[in-house]
Formats: sequence, structure tokens, C-alpha cells
Amino acid sequence: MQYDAILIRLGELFLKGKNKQSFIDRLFQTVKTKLKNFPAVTVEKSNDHFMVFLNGTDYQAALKQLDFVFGIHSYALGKICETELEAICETALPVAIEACRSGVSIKFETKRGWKKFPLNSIEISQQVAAYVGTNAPEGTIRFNVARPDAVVRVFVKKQYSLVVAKVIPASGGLPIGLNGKALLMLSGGLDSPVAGYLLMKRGLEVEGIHFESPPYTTARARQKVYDLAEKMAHYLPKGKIRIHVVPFTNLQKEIFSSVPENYGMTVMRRMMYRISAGIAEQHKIRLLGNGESLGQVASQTPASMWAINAVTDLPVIRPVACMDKVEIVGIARKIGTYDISIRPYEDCCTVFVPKFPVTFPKKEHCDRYEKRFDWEPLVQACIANTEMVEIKAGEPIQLDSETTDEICGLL
Amino acid sequence: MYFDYAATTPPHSEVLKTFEAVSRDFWANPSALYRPGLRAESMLEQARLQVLKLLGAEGKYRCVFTGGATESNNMALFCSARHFKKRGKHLITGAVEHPSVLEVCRALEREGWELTVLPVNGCGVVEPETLRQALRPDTTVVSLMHVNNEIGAVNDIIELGGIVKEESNAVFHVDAAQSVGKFDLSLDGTPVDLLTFSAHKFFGLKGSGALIMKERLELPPLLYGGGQESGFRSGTADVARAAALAKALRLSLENRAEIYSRVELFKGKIAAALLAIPDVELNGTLENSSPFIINCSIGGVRPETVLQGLAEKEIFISTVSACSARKTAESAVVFALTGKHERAKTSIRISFSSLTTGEEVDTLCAEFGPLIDALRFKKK
Repeated sequence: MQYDAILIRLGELFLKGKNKQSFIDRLFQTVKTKLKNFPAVTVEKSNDHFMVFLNGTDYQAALKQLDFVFGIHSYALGKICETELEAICETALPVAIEACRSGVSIKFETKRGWKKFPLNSIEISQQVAAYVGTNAPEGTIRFNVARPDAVVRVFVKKQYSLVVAKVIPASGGLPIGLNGKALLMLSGGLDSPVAGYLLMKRGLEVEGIHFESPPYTTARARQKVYDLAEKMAHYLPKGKIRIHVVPFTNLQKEIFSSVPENYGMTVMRRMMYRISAGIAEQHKIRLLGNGESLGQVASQTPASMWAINAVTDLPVIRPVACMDKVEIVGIARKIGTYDISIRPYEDCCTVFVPKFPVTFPKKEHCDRYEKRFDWEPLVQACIANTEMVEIKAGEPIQLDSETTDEICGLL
Repeated sequence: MYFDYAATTPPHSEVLKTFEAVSRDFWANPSALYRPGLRAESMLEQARLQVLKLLGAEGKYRCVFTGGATESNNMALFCSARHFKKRGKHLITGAVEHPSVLEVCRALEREGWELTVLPVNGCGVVEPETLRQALRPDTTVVSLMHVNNEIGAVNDIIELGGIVKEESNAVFHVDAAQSVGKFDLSLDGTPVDLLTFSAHKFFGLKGSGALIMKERLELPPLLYGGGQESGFRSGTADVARAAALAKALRLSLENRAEIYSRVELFKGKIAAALLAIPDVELNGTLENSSPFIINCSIGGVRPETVLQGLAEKEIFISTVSACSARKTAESAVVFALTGKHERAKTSIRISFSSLTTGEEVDTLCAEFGPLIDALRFKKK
């Protein structure tokens, strides 16, 4: 069935108080930006919902874009007609038949926004139901007013009326951009992009920080991070994401030559947190995020988190901490990062893995071992030499662009 | 004059160029970590993405490059049957499937699976109700072809697949060797779990094909080894063949609709010429069938003699499908839909492609009648 319009129901905005309007305005802008590639589409803002007029555009293509927008609770797909009883009835008929497929029972409900319409909402529902009941082919309609499986809704407005039946859940969450920013530690694994997605879902604008240790890590590892970032960029209102790439080799070598092997990983992660905090400070970001999950690896025990987290006073959110791996994989597949994450390249966390990392590190030991070498200038050098890359949705960066052109020519 | 494009097609010159250039400039092992390896890997992945995009499968399916449709069919059936054997050991396939499906099913039958071979109707297609009746709670794999290779009958894979999904938990495999590159296929949102094709059917290279599989389907491999192709098919990837396949698919889909309707006219013309000859019957119907293939039985004449007679005039057609042309004198496919041995023994297949011209079709139409007359005369 081809639909004329998508009615967008907004998410948790009812939780908001006086700033509700600014959230709605921001969300409206984002919706418009996401749909700008469909020239025929127009969008209209109302109190508690938006209307997307498709004007012939394929609704599935539009929904695919809207799925990148957080702050939408659901979509209702509908057909538009003139605000006349006869037109409403005729429009409602195919919508109702479609809704009753596979044995679903329905009832009609009307919302009369334009109060000058001659019938009240109950009368409209009755009239429409009577029309559909008499004009639908035998057996195609099942009414159940007390307990319907689905509700066909009629919205009567001054300029037009709308009949909707099919309601599809949207991405949920809060509109991005008014809750501030988060700096996401992006390793290249499965968990961190999912953590980024969940942070964005709660309305945070995410920037990424990635540690690389050439020559121990290769260009492929960086390409992987770029490709992950490109997937995440789709969810940001402007369709672009910043990635801070930290040259970590010198510091990392110093750590693993100065610190006992079993504490190497703990100290390394403390350094990463320090550098992240430094970068966050530079960009006025007040929150760190990462993909740590409880109990997965040695650094992800409470004791480890305590020893590592002690180096910063920034709040650290770990959105996947309490999720099972299968749940994380499910989200990774949904957002398209799974296949990128499983590419088998070394990242800086896997190059110097100690054989027996300490799972219950002590903060005092960390402090003591760190005194063995002059790490502050090295951390400062990492921060100073960090490279910032901006990645746009739909325009993945290819490190070897010469090859990319060559490939395009040959395929 | 070549009328056997359903058997194979000549590789497109652009495809050969790509094959040569990639073999020369991207020869490194794509699993290697140095730059040439990275370049080869980029080429391979880009080719894979292009195939998925062209089949409307991006994001929902994966593409495993194989050595052709036969390997893909073997992999699809063996691996899904074995993977789900704890759920049940009942397989369903059709009576007119390609040997690379039927024989795999029979091999599985010998290993202890139960096999139902669905009959086809007079048009050569599986009736939805027949499939519905055959599905059982322990059915784990259903394999049905999209377009039949001998008679061109087209199964409604969307409807059939829908029934499979409604009535069972079975995996739905489609052998699309005769439709990829020719038909408008978009997999997204369809009930197809596995789809097989070969590049040489659409001007690509032999020894090259793919298995498109639903992303969530984690089948064990058929070929074990170094874990290439995400572990689904080991063996050093043939980057050049993969690139050539992607290129051939892109080229063949460029003017697909136009070619399709042109070939449809050819088929109509040839059908009319054939049916004007006494005692010639079409196998399959003109409606709901592939315009690229026409098959008929010529009463009282051995098909080899027709083939030889036309070959003397440099016109090449085929008797039963090339894969079984040398084995038996009877077409199992034609027998399955007609139930008559005589029809099955006297069938010929004519198949077209974008390269077929109107003049070629006219020549063929003109030669047919006199040749068959002459052959029948000789017999008296």
C-alpha cells in the first residue's frame, strides 16, 4: 500500500518542562535535515506531532532515514483526503481492509481537531464504520469495538483529514544536541560503537577518541575506526562526527617497559583516561563514555574500574556495562557496525596484552609504579599531537584513496 | 549463431579487462597485512558490497564468493541441513531442480534425511498448495529454483517462500542461476534465506559464483581451512574473479528492462514459428516463464538430429540441459511436467541473451520448418 503521509509521534518529551519547545524545535530541524534528500517531501510541525507529507515518495525510504533520528516514539502511516465525510469514508475503506489482513479486528477512533466540522468525533467514527461495513467485500473487515486488535484513527483537520492504521515503533530516545556532548573511547571492537549509539540515543552529541600505536597497529585499524565512525555519524543531527586519533606508541612502550607486566594494562588504561580527560577539557566535553562491559575482560571488574577511574573526576558512562554480549551484538547488527567490528586487526589494546593481567588491582600500586617513569610529558605530547578527523555520514574516508579510485574504475 | 546462452555466455570484454587488470595489479593475498594485501582486500570487499547493492541485499545479507552455482548449492544445502539436523531431518525440493540441488538432496537422503520431491504442474512450477501440504514441523530446508534451466518456468519465490515462513521454521534456499542478471531481483524484505548464482550465466567468468545468505544465518562452512570469507568458505580468495563477477552483474543489470522486453519479442516470434510446424509442442507456457528460454518437443524426430542439422548451418541450440546432455537421452524436467516419455525424449532448448539479434531469430525461424520436414521425410 502506498501511503500519503507519516504522522510522527514524539518520544519522551512530556518529561520536559519549560524547555520542551526547544527540544521540539531541535527535533523538527533534525527531521527536516534527514529528509532533505527527498525533494517532494514536506514536513509540518504541530503541538505534539509532526506530519511528513510524502507526495509520492516511497515511505520505506523515508522511514529508513527517520530511523536515524532520536526523539521519535513511533510512526503512523496514513492516507490523506479532503475534510468531507464522503472523502474520509472512501479513504478509510482501503486502509481498514489493509489493517484487517491476517485476521486482525479493528475499530475507528476520531480526533476532531477542527471543531467546525458538522459531526462530532463519535458521530464521525460511527459514520465511517457504517460506510466501511457496508462497502467492504464480504469477510475483509472484522470489527471489535470493545477489544480491537488495532485502531484505525481519523484525524479531522481544517485543511485536510488523515486516516492511519499502521503504527511502527521508531528509534525512541531524546533529540540530540541539547544535552551536551560525550567523548567516546572508540577502540574498534564490538562494544564501543554500541555504547556510542546508546549515548546518542539519550540525546548526547558524541565525539570519538581512538588510540593508535603504529607500527604495532596498522592503517587497517584506523580504517576500521573511520568506518565505524561513519556508521555512527548517521545518527547525529548534522550527519558528521569528530574523531580524535591519539598517537599512543611512545607512551605505551614506556609503560610496558617500566611497569610490572601484570599491571601494564591497568596503567595503560589509566593513561588513556588521562589523555581522554585532557582532550575532553580542550573541547569542553564533560562526560566520558566507553564500551566497557562488566566481567568481559580483566579491566572490567569493579576493582579494575575503581583503580582506573580514579585518575579522572569526569563522569564515565558505560552504557553496555550491564548488557549481555548477545544484546550488544544485536544492536551492533542493527546499526551496521557488526561486520566492521569483527575485522580482525590489532588495536592498541591487543598489542601488548599481559599474559596474566591483574584483575583486582590496587590504586596504591598503580600510583607507585607510575612514579617509576616520567609520564606527564608523554601524556601531554599525546594530547598535543592528537589528530582530529571529521567523518560525514555517507562519505566514508578511504585512507588509500588512490586505490579506491582504481577499484571504482575497475568495478 | 549461438542459441545456448542458458548453458553459458561469452565473457564480456569489459569483464575480461577487469579480470586482467585485477589479476595484474591486485594479486596479493587479501588476508596479508602489507599495503598490497590491503589493496586486494579493499577490492574484494568493494566487489562484495557492489553485488549486495545490486541485489537489493545490502545490510541484510552477506555475499560469499564461491566457485560457481554448483558449489553454492552444495554449500547451502549440506550446511543448512547439517546445521539444523537437531531441529529435524526433512528436506523439500522440486522435481525439476538442477542436478546440483537434486543430487545433493539425494546424497543427504542417503545420509539419513527424509526427502520430499514436489511435483510441478503443467507449466513446470510448484503450486503453493503442494508446498503447503508437504511442509512439516521437522522440515528444515526447502530448496526451489527461481527460473528453470530447461524450460524457463518461473516459480513465484516470494509466495512460496512466504508459505515456508508461515508454516515452518525451515530455511528457504533459491537457486537463481538462470535469473540473476536477467530478472529484477531485490532481496530486501523477501523470505529468501539463501540465494545461489553463477557469473558465467551473465557474461562473467566460469568458476565463479556466489551464495547470498541472510546475515543472521550462521551456517558451518563446507570447505574448512584458513577461515577466509568470514569463515564461510576457506581458500585464498580469488579477488580477480570476484571483481569480474561484480562487474558482470553491474553491466548485465544496466539495460536489464530493455533487454528483457526485447528478448520477450524474440521468444514470441520463435514460439509462433515452432508451433506452425505440425506435431511440435511447447514444454512449459509462454506466460509466467523466462523470455530467455524456450523449450519444445518435436514429435517423431530425435533431438540430436535437429541439433546436428542446425549445427551444419552454424546454428547452435541444445537438447536437454548441457549439464546432463551427455548422460541420458531423456529430459527429466520435461518428463516431470508432461509425464510423457516421448515428449521428454524429443525436447530441444533454445535460449537467448542480450547478444541475440533480430536477424538471428529470423534465420532460426526460417531454417526450422524445412529442416524438420527434411528430417521427418528421411525417417519414412
